[in-house]
Amino acid sequence: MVLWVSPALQLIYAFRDAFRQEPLIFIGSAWWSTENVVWDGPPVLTLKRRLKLIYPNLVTFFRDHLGIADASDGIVASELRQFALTQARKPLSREDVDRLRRLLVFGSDTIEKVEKGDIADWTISLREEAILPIHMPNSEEIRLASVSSGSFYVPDPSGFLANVFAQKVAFIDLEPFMVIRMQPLLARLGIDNRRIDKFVTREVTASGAPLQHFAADEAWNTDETSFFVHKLPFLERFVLSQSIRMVPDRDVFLAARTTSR
Amino acid sequence: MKERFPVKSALVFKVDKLDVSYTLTGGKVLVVSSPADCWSLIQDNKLLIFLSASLDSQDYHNYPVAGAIASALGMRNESVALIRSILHDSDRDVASLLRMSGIHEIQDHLRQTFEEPTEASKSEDVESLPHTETAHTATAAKVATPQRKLPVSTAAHSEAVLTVTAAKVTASRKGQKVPNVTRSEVVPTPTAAKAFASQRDPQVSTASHSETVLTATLTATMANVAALTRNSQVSSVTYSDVAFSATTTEAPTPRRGAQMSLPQQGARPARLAVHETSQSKRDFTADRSWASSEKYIDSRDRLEARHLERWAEKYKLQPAVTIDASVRGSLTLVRTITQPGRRSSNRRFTAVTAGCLADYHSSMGRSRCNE
Repeated sequence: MVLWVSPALQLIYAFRDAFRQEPLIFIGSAWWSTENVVWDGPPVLTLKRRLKLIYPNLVTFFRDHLGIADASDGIVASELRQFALTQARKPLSREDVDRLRRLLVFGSDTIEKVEKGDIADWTISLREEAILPIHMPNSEEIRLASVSSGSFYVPDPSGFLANVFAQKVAFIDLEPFMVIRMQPLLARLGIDNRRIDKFVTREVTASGAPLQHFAADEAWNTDETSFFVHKLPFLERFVLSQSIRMVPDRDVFLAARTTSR
Repeated sequence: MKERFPVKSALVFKVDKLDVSYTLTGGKVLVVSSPADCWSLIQDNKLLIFLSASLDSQDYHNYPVAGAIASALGMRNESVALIRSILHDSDRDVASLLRMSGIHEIQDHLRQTFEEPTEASKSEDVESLPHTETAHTATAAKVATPQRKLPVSTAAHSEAVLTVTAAKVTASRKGQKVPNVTRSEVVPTPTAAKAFASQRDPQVSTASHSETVLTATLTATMANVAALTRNSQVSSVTYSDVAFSATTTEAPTPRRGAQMSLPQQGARPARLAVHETSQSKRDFTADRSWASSEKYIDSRDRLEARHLERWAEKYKLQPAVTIDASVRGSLTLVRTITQPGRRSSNRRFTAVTAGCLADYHSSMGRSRCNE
């Protein structure tokens, strides 16, 4: 049986073969093969180039004719693995840390899809990989560590306790706000339970005595007390104003109606 | 649930040395101590402030002091700047600053409405309850829990509003012997209040019986009125207590324009924060600081509210203001029923009622979450 193929399709097949065999995509100052490019994908990609940014008008050629697909969210695993391979066993530069943070934040944003089953769980293969930036105590060095090493803490959301113990123990190098942002990934990796505030107890002593016992039998200072008591009404007004919940507009509308009679 | 402002007074201790120790127990135990200028905590409704002896009185508005107080009061870091100003500036400047920040004081004449009623007025309330042949009187629980405290301006007045006024429903049933019951127990906790509410006689809430003569007096807290006055576009709200009654079957339907409601002078629940008879009205100047109280909805309350609305509509009782708000475990409704006589009143009544009921429904989720 002879299968008839249109001349146009024959040409497309020829193009595909050529692009598979040779790096024929010109990006920047180099030629790239189809294995190292995607049509579109997350902005954190570094291993693969996004053709949509470079040749936005050639969507038919690259996607339909050459069959270059979009990158999935799970590609972050490849990026992290590659990062771990190239950066292991040496202190990270600030640029490397920033790039790693962006990868982790992007990865965290994909966790919802992982949990819904929309994409494969890319975190499983990375449990033993050194993909976390760890700030070492008594130095400014940031090194990579794996999830399973567990020899670090996660900063508290306010960053206060992380500051207190910064020179004593290793922390994952994340700003406090990033700890909140990356909570889904930290939970997925099982390291959210390493948050420092879960391991710290606090005690305040006044002249060596715990405060709870201090208040009962010590005399207070009259002048200072009268000063602060005098300020209490203002503090109360302030506190109450903060706890006020907004009234729905409808109530106000109703009030306006009823008072305008 | 946390009190909105649990502080009744303050005590200041000046100590030679103030230290904060943090102990890390994750692996190897680590202790880090650091000296502090100030520490603050709330204990037994007292704000305990510990100041380092090295701290000069000129430094009381500094960050550590303001930060410690903000932390003890459960406020965010953003609040520290304003607390510093409160501690540093003169009263006049602080008042001005708060006002500019949208935090207004309660005016003196309004504070009086929060005062505790005297024992004499309480007994007068009970004695003058309206009774017909047989009467069933149920007073919903007064919620004396601090959690229900309403926003007021000074600590001195806080105590007066710990009681959230509940509604008083009086139902009389013609020709039937209904035991005369008066309930005015103080219920100290929301749970107990809820339990009390569940004990209310079903005859009260199902008072739609054709032979029932229902007299309902519903009152509410200042905060409910204040909820309407918070918007600066509203300069004042005329508020009066609700007092309406109607008779079915035997009683002829009153003609339009007739006085349907008589003020039930004695029907005011004890420790009523706000009460005006239906005859007397009062203007409350808008004051944003009053704000709204949280609305806690009880399905029984909603049923009663709907019933009363249908009932008032049937007998052409025209509300000037209808605000419904339920306090968990007790019934708190605000109604103003005035003389009918305007054609638009019915429409207004319907609109207002619909709005309030919708608000009830939207509040249901929040109230349940708060429990």
